[in-house]
Amino acid sequence: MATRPLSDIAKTIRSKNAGVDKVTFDVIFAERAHYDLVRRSGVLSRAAVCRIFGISASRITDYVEFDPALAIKFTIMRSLTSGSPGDADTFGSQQYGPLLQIPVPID
Amino acid sequence: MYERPNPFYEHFLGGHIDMSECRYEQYDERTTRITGPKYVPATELRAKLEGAGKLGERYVGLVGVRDPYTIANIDAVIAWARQQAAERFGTAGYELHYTVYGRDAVLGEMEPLRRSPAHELCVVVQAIAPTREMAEEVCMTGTRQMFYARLPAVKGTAGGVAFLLDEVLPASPAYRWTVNHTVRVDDPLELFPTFITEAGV
Repeated sequence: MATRPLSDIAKTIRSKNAGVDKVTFDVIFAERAHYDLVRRSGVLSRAAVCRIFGISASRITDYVEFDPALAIKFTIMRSLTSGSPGDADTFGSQQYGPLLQIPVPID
Repeated sequence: MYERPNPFYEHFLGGHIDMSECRYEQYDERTTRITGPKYVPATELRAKLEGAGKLGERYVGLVGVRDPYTIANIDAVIAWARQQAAERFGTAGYELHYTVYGRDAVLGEMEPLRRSPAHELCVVVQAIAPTREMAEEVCMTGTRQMFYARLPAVKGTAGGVAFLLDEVLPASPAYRWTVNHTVRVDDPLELFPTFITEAGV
């Protein structure tokens, strides 16, 4: 099956703190067809997010397909609150790295 | 949706806005018309309270690693250095944190590639203690002892790691979030006194 990396298809892939104890991920598309393709494929489903990051489903506090922005958005609990000693991403801004290369089936 | 857990709900003192039924329309080239948000009053008034507490003074050490066997066993090296600190300072009353750049520093346990570290690593050592003097000593021990860690299969015998600096660096004190709660209030303004004063301009 032919695939393309998510970073080729999405316009924006980002992560950021959402309060002191959560990080939220936004995957935003420029075109409706791409948004539909990715959400139907399941490569960013709750279960897929758990597999990619090796976390349990209970760490995901919010999961939304946000049609007005053509965005898939999910939020997870941090293992350390922002800026605690040992937390190496104070703003949560580099947590999206593993999403970039996710293969999206395009057939 | 930016920096929010969920784009549909915005909570504040007195209730929340439910935006799940909002409609977004192009009004002109630069303007969007948004209709349909619903204000949902709360049954009681709750104000958000956030706060952080000081943990202690902090020093930072930087450790480079290039030996492939040491990289593969970096956790054992860190454990050895921790053990040296524990023998000198005990196991309580200070904190030692090791962040391994080149392996899983940024994502920690969520890093899918943590089993395949880079050809060289930078380990950042943070020591936190009640005084600057103790933080410096704990950091020096936790950093320097990685140099002396002996693993059975390491070929080098003249130092197990590389130091960018032969010292540890003072950093800002360490804090941790201690309060992330809501508190019930009778009057929405009771925690937020307002007054009028002359600015004198």
